[in-house]
Amino acid sequence: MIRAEHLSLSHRDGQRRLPVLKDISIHIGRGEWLALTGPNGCGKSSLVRTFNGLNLPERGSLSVAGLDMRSPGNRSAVKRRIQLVFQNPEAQTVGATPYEDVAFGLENRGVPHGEMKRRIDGILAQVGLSHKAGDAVSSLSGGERQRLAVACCLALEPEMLIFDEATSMLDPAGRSGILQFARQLWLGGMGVLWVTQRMDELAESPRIAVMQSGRLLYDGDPRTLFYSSGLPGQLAWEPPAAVQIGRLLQAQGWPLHLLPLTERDLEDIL
Amino acid sequence: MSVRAEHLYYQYGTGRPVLRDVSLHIPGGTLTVLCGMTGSGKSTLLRLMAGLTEPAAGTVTRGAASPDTAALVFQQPETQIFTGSVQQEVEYGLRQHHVPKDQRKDLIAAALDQAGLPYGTFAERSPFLLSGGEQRRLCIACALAVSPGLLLLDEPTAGLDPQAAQALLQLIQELRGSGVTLIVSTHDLDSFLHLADKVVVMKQGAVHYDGPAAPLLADFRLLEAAGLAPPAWARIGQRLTQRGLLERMPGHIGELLAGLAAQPLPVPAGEGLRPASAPAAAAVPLPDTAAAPEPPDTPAMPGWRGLDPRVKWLGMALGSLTLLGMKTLLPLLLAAALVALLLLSAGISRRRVLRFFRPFLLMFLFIWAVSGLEWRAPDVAWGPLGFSMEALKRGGLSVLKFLLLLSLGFLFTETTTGAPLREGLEWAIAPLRKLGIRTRSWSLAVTVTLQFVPWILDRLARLQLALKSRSGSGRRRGRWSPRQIAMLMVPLLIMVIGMGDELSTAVESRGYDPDKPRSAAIQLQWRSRDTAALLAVLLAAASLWWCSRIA
Repeated sequence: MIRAEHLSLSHRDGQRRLPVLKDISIHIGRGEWLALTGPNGCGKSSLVRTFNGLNLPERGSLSVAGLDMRSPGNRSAVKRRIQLVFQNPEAQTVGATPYEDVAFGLENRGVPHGEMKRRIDGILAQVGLSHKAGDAVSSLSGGERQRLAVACCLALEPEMLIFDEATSMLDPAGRSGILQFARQLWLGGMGVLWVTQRMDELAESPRIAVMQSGRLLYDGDPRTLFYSSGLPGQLAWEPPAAVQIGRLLQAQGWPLHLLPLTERDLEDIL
Repeated sequence: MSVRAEHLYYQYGTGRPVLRDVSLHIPGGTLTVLCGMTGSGKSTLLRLMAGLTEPAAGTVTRGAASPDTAALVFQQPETQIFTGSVQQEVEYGLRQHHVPKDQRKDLIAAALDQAGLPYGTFAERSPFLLSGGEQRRLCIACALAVSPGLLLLDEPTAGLDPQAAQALLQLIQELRGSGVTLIVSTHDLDSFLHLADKVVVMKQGAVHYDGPAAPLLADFRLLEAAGLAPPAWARIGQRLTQRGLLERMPGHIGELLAGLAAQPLPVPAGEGLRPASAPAAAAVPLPDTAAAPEPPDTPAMPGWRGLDPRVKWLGMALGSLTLLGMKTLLPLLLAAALVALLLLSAGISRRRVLRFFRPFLLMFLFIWAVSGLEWRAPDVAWGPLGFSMEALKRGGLSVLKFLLLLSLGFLFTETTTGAPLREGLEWAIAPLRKLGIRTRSWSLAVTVTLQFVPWILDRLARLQLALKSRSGSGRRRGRWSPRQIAMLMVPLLIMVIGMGDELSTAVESRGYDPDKPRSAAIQLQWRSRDTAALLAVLLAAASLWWCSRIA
């Protein structure tokens, strides 16, 4: 789906150019779940915005769905296929009600009026907002607004959804609602790029990419990352409780064939 | 500094109360963790305890202590930075607290260092260009500079990376060690629960639990009933304790690991370990997929609100033209009565009407008074000021006319929102398309801008509250100085521009292209009642016009 080779990007700051992405090479397959993490300001958002066509790569090559992203025509075609859900749901609402907000994307795609209602109803039902279709957007909770943002992306029938720290402003209930919903979409074949700072969310991802100062430090599975890469210590992470206990059991000589990452893993062992 | 809250009540406007009968005692020098779901009243409670907002009922008393300053750091750093450099940002609060100039530099350097922003690197940098984590630390430095006896933090770790969050936790522990009373509102129980001397769990505006952390860890139902989940280590610890694999329930992850190290788990014989590794794929049903109420093509609204936006457009245009032609009092009074009737029947809350008109009323009164000034031969003299009755009458008529025009605009935008407004607008300006004007972009821009007026007002209120929290307690109830108003404008403008930028990104990535044809989800439908309403509009306009001719 996404193939980046030696990708570099910089932002202008007065006379200088500040490097934001440095020599990043990564390949993300169709329908894959990839978690992306790294300290504040390390270039995560710049990278995902480059994938979606909002930033133009300076050096290196980037192709998305087989399209070369250096061509402006291809970039606008990719925008629909890779949709972004941002941190702040307020900045993604164009309509006054959930019904109108979802309608906006469908209108732009020229969906006939007769078909519109059925499509909007279907999408709102999918994200569990049918009962709020006609309510003012401002009356929705943070979690509901993020679900609405996902609904608006779904209206464009994307092949991949990028959640850019989309749950960091939500309470635990709102956060787990969005995460579960993203997983359901992923199980249905949607590619998901999940940007997060949370260790528990990383531990539950099949593949993790770690960035620091514009570079890709790690790209691989969570067990190697948490148990043998040395990165958690280097980045001052406190790994999930299950991993900390797993390390202790390992030190105590337990024959762990699969190292625990989550509470469920630990439950299975004990 | 200890804090005692007694029977606090609070509500915004006429809505549901946000706080109901909240009574708390926070002993001096302790760390209190305040938790609860979004909307449980945590942030409001922090504001009341910081003395920034007055409760509707009940009292907040702070124990006599030195220093007696309370400082609140809000959740969103961008709503609490105002000046051009990091140094000035910290200095503002010191000046408000009357700290002599020669002492300020040392205090600024110490506060910045304490918050993890070395003075030499950061002092001259623009706060607006710092990263989110750095901005948050700056806000904490601003609070620390005035040596508060009580420090209140709202979601301090939200959005921070693990390293920054660790540094913040370290700082919080140091501050508690130095005797500062801390109240931290947070969803991040994993990081804070074990540090708390006291935990307050809020549920729907009331105190659900108030006490030490241990009982919450012994019985998870207390947290779960308030919509919260216990930390992962606590859940694991409980399971191990229940199975006798751990001697007692741990108080934090360190204790859990130490317990397991002291009493190693029996190593199982043979194999049979197959932990699942795929991401949790439990198909959890979403909260609601219940039968949807049918959203009609044009939303059904009571009374004349639900009229076709084109009728409202024509009404507004005709009404404005008629008003502009009025030169005497009688037709203007009749028009005022009609507008008042429309305002009363539009279903707009009184609070909203007042909020909109209050600033204009003051401004219009002032303009009216100025328009009546007469120096040479005044009819009435009031001190050095002389007024002419004729000029006052003329000015009064103009001001009233202007106010009525404004009311028509207010009525239109308040009763027509979202898609119907956009469709109506696009219809009204469609002829301009022939002149090469992108009517589609304009109607979208106007609709979205109107939608964001409440957002802008909300950000302004947050900025005002943040500025108020930096002022010394004696100045908190005073009026805003022109300098402070100027200080509010820069961050507000930056936020509005940032919002505009993010919104245009969202609009673009949803496939918007002004040059391509679009379909419409909501098609305007002209009904017989719209014809009747249009006739009524024409009749009213004609009558008023006739009245203004003969009067």
